[in-house]
Amino acid sequence: MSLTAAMETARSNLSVLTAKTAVISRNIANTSNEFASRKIVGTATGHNGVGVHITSITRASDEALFHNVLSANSDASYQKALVDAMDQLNATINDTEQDASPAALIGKLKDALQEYSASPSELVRAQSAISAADDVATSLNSATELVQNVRSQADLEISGAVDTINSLLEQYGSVNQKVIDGTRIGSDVTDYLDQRDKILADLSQEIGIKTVAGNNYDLSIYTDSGVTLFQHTARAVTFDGLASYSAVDTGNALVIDGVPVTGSSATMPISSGRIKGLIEIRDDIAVTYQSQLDEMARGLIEMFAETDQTASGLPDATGLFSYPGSPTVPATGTLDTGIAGEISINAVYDSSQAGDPTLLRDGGANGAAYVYNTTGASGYSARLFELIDEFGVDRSFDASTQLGGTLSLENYASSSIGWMEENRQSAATAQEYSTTVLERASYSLTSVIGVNLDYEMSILLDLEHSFQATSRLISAIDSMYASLLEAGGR
Amino acid sequence: MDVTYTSTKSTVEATRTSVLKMQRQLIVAQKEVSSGRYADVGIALGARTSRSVSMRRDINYMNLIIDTNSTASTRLDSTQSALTGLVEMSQGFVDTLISARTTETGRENAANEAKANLSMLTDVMNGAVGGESLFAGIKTDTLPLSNYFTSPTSAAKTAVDAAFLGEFGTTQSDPANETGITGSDMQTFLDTTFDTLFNDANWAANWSAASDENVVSRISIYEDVETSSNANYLGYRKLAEAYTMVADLGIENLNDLAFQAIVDTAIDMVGAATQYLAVEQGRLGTSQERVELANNRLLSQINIITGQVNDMEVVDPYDASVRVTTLLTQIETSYALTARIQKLTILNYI
Repeated sequence: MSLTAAMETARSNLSVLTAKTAVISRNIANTSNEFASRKIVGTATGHNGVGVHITSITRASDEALFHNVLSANSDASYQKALVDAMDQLNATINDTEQDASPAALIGKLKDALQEYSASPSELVRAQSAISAADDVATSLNSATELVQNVRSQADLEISGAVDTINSLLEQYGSVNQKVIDGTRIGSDVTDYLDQRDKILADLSQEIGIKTVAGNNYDLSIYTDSGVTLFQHTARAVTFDGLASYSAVDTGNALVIDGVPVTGSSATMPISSGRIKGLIEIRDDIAVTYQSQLDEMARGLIEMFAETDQTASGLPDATGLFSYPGSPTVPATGTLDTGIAGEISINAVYDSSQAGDPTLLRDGGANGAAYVYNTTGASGYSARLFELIDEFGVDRSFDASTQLGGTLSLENYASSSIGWMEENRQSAATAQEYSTTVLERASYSLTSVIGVNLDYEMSILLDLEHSFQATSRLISAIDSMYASLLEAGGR
Repeated sequence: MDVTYTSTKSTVEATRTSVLKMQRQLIVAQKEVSSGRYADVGIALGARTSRSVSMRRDINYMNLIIDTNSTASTRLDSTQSALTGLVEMSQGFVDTLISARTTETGRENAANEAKANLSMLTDVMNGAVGGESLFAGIKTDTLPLSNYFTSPTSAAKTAVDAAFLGEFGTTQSDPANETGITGSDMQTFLDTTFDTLFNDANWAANWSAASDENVVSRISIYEDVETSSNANYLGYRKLAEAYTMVADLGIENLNDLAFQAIVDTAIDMVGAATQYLAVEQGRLGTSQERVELANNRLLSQINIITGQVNDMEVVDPYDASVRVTTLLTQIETSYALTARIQKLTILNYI
C-alpha cells in the first residue's frame, strides 16, 4: 500500500459521495411525485482494494404491488364509468318523493281519469286528463332522448379513450426503447422505468392490461383478455364512433390489433377499464332500459286502444296515445324498439289542436263504430272506469326487457325503476369496494417505492460526515506528502 | 431496504384520502339529518325502490278517490234532502185532499196546492249541484222536467188535454162536466187513459228528458256504486200523476162523485209514491254508507301504506345525527393529526 493508493481511495470516495448526494437530491425533488421511485446507489470496492466506485443506480420497486395497482385501477375506473352513466340515467327517475318518473306520471294519469270519471260532464277535467296523458308521453320521449344521449356520450368517450390509448402506446414505445438501449450500455434507466410505469398506470385506467417482461427490461403489454397492445411496436387500436344514436342504432366494436374485444362477436372480450364500463352502458344497460321504456309506451298505446262497439268485426284501433304506426295497435308482448321516443297524444283529443277531449269519455276517435257512449249522455263514466281498470290489468311484456312476463302496466313501470336502482345500487357498492382496493394498493405501493424525507436527510448527514472525514484524510495525506518532500529536498 | 420503511407521500396521503372520504360521508349524513330521508333513496333501497314508487302511487290514487268521493257524497246528500222535501210535501198534500173531500171549499185549495206542488216537483227534479243535474241520470247536462203550466202549452199538458177531450168530449174547464161526467166515468178515465199518460213511453216522450241510467261513481279501488236518482223513477212519476189529476182535470167543475174519484185515486197514488220514495231513499242511503265505508277503508289503507313508505325511506334521525357528530370529530382529529405529522420532520432537528 502506498500513500498514492490512499489518496486514490480518498479521491474516489469523494466522487462517490457527490454522486450519492446528487441521487439524494433527485429523491428529495420527487418526494411528492406519484410513481417516482426512490433511487438507490450501488457501490463496490475498486480493483486490488484501491478506492470505491459506483456500480449501479437502481430503484425501489415491487412488481406484485404495481400489478395490483394496475388491476385495481382498471376495476375502479370500470365501476366509475358505470356509476356515472347510471346516475345520468337515474335523472329519468329522480327522487321517489318528486313523482317525476314515467311510473309516477302514469299514476297521475290514472288519478286524472279517476277525477274525470267523478265529474264526466266537466270539460276541464277532460282537459286535465289529456294533459296528464301528454305529460306521460313527453316524459317517455325525453327519457328516450336522455338514454340515447347517454349512449352517444359513452360512444364519444370511447373514441376519446381510444385516442388516449394510441398516444400512450406511442409514448410507451419510445420510452421502452430508451430502457432497452440504456440497459444494454449500462446507463441509469430508472427515470425511464418510472415514466414507463406512469404510462402503464394511465393505460390501465382506460383498459384492463397485463404485462410480460422480456430481455433488457423490455415489457410487452396485453389486454386483460390477452390481445396484444404492445410488443416491440404499438398495435393499432381502432374504433368507429357514431355521430348520434337513436334507439335502433347499434354501436361499433372496439378493435385491437385486428381483433374485436367488445360486443357479441368478440372472442377475447376485455373485462375491465373505463372502456369496458362505457361499452356495457352503451350496449347493455342503456339498451335494456330503453326497451323497458318502449314496452311502457307500447303498453299505454295498447291500453287506450278503442274496440269496435258495433260488432262489425273492425280491428282495435289506437286511441288517446298514438305512434307513427297508428291506428294499427302494435302487437302485444312484442318489443317495438324506439316506440317510447315516438309516442304522442292523438291530435283528435287535443283541444289545442282543434280536437275534442271528451272522446276520452265517449270513445269514437276512430269513427262512429268505436263510440262507447252511444246516447251521448254527459254523465257517462263506464268507458273511463274501463280505462282506469286497464292500468291494473295484467298484460304481457317482452322477455328481452329483463322484466318480461305478465303483469300490469303500473307494476311494469315501477319494476323498471326497481331494475334501474338495483343496478345502480350494486354498481355503487362495487365502486366503493374497488375504490378502496385501489386506495389500499396505491398506498402499499407508494409506501414501498416512495421517498422518505427523514430517511434521505439522515443519509445526507452520514454523507456529510463521510465527506468531512475524507477531506480530513486528503489534507492529512497532503501534509504527509509535504513532510516527505521536505525531507527529500534537504 | 428496511421492512418498516414507509414513504413520506404515503403518510401524508393516508390522512388526506381518509379526510376526503369522511367529508363525502358528512355531506350524505347532513342531507339525511335535514330531510329525514335517505340522501339517495334509489341507492339505499335498490330493487325495493319499485315498491316505494308503487306505494306512493297508490297513496296518491287513494287520496284522490277520497277527494272524488266528496263529489259523490255531495250529490247523494243533496238528493236525499230533496227526497225528504218531496215526502213532506206529499204528506201535506194528502192532508189537504182529505179535508177537501169533506168540505165544499176545499176544492180550490186542493187544486192550488196541487199546482204549486207540481211546479215544486219540477223544480226539485231540475235541481243541480256543481252544474250537474241531480235527477237527470247520466244526462247530467240536461234539465229532466219542463214546467207543466207554460205558454206555449207543454207537451205534458197537451197530452192530458187531448186525453180528456178524447174521453169526455169536453175540455176540463167546461161547466157541463158537472153533469156530463159521472163518478165511474172519471174512475175509468183515471185508471186507464189518464194512467197511460204516465207509462214509460209517454213519460219519456212528454215529461222527462232524463236517462234511466243513474250516475255511477268509483268509490274505492274496484268498487262502483250508483250515486244519483233519475226523474224516470216510478215514485216521482206517481207524484206527478197525482198532482196533475188534482191540478188539471178541472175539479171545480165536477160533481161530488167524480171529484171524490179523483181525490181517492190521488190519495192512493201519493201513498204508493211515498213508499217508492222511501225505497229510493233507502237505496241512496246504502250508497252513502258505502261511500263512507270506502273512505274509512281508504284512509286506514293510506295510513298503513304511508307507514310502510316511511319505514323504507326514512332514516333514523338519532342515528343520522350521531353519524354527523362522529364524522365531525373524526375529521377534526384528522386535521390535527395532519398538522402534527407535517411538523414531524428531521429538518427541525438538524
